[in-house]
Amino acid sequence: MILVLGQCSDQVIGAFMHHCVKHSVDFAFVDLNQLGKSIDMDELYWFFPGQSPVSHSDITGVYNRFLDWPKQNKYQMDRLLSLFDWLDHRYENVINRPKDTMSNLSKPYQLDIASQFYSWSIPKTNIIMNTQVKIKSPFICKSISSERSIVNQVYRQEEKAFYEPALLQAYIPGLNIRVHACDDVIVAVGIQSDAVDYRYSRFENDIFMYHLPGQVEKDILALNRTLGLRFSGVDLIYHNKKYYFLEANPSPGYAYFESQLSRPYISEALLSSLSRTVH
Amino acid sequence: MSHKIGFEGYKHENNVGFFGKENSKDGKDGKEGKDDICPVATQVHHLIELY
Repeated sequence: MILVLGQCSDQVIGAFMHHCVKHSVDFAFVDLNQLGKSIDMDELYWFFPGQSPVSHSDITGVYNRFLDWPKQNKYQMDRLLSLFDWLDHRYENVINRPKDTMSNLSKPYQLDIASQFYSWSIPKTNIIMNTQVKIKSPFICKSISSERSIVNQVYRQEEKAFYEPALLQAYIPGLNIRVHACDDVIVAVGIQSDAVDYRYSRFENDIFMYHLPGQVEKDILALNRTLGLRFSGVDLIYHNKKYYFLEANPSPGYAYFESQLSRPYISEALLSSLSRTVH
Repeated sequence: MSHKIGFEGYKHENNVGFFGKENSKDGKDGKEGKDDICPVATQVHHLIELY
């Protein structure tokens, strides 16, 4: 049985569960808002309302979509910490373990790791804090951490003040590429969009399968291994025959991209990884 | 018969469908997004130029 961890507002796990239903794969959804309430666990079992207890030993894989801390009391916090212990140390097959997603808390750290690979370049990047900058060439501004920031404005020829830490990166026009890598499977798509940040485009984006050079694929798999990630969504830009690395997301919202493809390639890779025995 | 524990509850919570609730296009609801970095009331110390 596959354990799916997340929250009801997350449609990515909905797409994955839908895929499991289609293929008659057993799964149990743990709504993290209900952990310590209607859903509970102990050292041997999971307990779901109206269901027989599910033994931890029956869990073949865990799809972890822990994105936000739910509101909780002390008991619920204890259950969450216990769950983290199971995810980080006790379950054998977890995508991804919480401890391995921590690189996403610091984009500079990620960029430093990514800069060790030669098949892509890193856009010129500045970390700004308590500073007024005079911008002469186009830059985009985004969060320095995992906090989502909408990157839809390109700053050109202007002065701008920054207070809390922010990341200013040279604006690279070109084709956005999202690469989903799950264990040794790579699914890359190109995204044609009218917006700098295609996630917030006013119009439908054009999404299509994209064939990456072999060395880029190898480097993405190696980057995942370095970061400890078994599943990631890597953002690249292709411009003037060069690839630029933007970031690697350890909890990629893959369902949106997959819904535009002819097959559920990413769900298939996830399901295959979570169904196999890991030693 | 396969087990799909919790799926009906999930579907009930998402009765507009898998992709019906999103504001952003990639699976987040966008509430945590910002149009810009939030300014904090601290003093500006430097002026630097970026090329």
